[in-house]
Amino acid sequence: MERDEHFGMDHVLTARTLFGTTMAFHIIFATLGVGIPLMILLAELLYQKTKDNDYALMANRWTKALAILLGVAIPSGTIAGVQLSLLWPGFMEVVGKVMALPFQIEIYAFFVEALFLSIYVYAADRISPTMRIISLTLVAIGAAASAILITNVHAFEGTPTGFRIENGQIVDVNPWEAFFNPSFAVTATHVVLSAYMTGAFTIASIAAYHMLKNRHHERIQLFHKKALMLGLTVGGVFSLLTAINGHESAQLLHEYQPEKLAAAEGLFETQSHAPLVIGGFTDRETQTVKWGIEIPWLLSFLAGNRFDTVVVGLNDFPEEWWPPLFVHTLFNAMVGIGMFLLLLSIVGFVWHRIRKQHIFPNWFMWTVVTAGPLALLGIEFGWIFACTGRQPWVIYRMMTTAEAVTQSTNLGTLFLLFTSIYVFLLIAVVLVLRSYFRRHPIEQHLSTHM
Amino acid sequence: MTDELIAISILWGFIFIYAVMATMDFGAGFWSMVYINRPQTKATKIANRYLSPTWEVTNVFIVAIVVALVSFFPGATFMLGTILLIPGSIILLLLTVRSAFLVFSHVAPKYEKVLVYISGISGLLIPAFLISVLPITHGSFVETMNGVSRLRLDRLFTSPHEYAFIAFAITSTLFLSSLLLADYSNEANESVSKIFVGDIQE
Repeated sequence: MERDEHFGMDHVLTARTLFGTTMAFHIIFATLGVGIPLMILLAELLYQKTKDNDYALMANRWTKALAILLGVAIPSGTIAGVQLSLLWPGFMEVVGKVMALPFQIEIYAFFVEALFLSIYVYAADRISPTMRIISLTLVAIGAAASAILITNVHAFEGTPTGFRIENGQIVDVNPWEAFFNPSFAVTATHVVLSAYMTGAFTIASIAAYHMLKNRHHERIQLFHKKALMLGLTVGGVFSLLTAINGHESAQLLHEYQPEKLAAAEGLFETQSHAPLVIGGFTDRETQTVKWGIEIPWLLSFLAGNRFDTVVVGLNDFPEEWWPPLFVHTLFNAMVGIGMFLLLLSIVGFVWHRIRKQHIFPNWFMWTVVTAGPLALLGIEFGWIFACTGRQPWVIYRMMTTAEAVTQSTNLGTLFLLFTSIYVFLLIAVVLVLRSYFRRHPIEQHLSTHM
Repeated sequence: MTDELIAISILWGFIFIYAVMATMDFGAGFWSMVYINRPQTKATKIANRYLSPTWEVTNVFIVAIVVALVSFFPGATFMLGTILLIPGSIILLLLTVRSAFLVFSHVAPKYEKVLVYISGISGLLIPAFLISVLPITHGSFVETMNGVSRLRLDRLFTSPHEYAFIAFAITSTLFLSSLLLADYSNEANESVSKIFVGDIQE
């Protein structure tokens, strides 16, 4: 698209900061909004199977928390959707012509989720258990479908198909080809799997914290132990699946966005038998990764399953196409957190199932407490990597971010306004959650007989 | 029917549905604020009971309108996105705070009073900003220089045209929502007079 760039990079950077802040805020609630419904559904199903009242109690309490979280997720999602058009009108023009399908279908997913959540939350005690499970399943499906469809737009930005730009005009539009762009399946799966992982570890974190807090109260310990085991099991399964799928995502970058992979790995020279560098900081001047640990040949193997795979380095691309080099650190942080959480689940599994120890040591419990916040951080790092690593493009090799940005200036004031609202809501959510669970302590509901 | 006609009909269909649902939502918020200090009427309670489960569904239609606009009229997106940035952002911020507090007050009753004022005040402000989109699209408040369009907020807010629209939005919001709440409370076996005429008779 030919559009004069009237504004400097400062303007683009402010717009990206504003939109990035919106997404960073929204993604916390969106991720939990996908992850927690699965945990509630599992608790409801376990209750139907075991008739253990503790699971019904879990479902009930998690639903209350979910309702509060969605109270922020839905409006912040609305902000994200509308802000896309307000801040990136050039991008949305292409989306409108080529990639409108996911947004159009997403409306239905959003509708199903909102409708059945209202039913489940406001009429839970008035409907039958079967109806509760159906409502909940539809909430979970609606939430996951929303995530998949919106991620599809992100996948399209990285691997655009289904149209060409000729003399500034969009031609040869094929909406379904754009919809099923090459990275859709893998990227959407990554988002959903990691959301399930995050939801599960968040539950495990909270349970571990309460077990540590109520060391001498056996009944409370028992309740939270069940939640902890459910969280660790589901979290473990999904962290393994996320890791396998993450490997596919990296191979996809190797094939479709080689400069993004090169920046993620800090690789400057094209080579076979390329080493994998873990940690460190990429240095533009010396073209090296400082203070990283180098593992020979591994990057080539990871990228193409063979040690002689040629991995393209950054020097093969003009420097103005390079993504910011700090994405190496973000990428490492995301992968590191994922690996750490996987290891945590394995240790828990070995301890519990193989060593047959039913009480976890304190150091393990405190580590579990960090798992939920870490998983959320991993999600943030992953998204910032995915979007920053695509720069300078908003649609890879088709449209630069600078071409898509709004012509309105004074974004700085808006940035301050939106950021203060997000900070305010974040504090309000924490206060409301605390206030609710303080007024409804678990002791109230637990019978003394087990 | 031409494609444009079908597209604009669908778009206006969404706008119409949203207008009706949102009008009730916003108006109910206002009425519950007006009646908050009159414990003998149940208007606040009735308004809130109606509000809580519907806002999420209402919210869907805002997104539907934007999606329909972008996908049916992509050519309009660039200009509209640019000039509606400020009013659009104000609407978003108000909606966010309002929706969040609707949920918060349902779960934590100590926030109920705060909510009633937030939803009451935003219940008037949001329709006023939403309807401003119409006079803005009429064009005389947009200035184009060197290919860059911008909205002249100073001209917009000093124009009687704009205030006529705002007055229309607010009065119709209050009228439609009072009709709906009267009907709703009637269904819920509350006498209409008790709610809306009650304080006149006292």
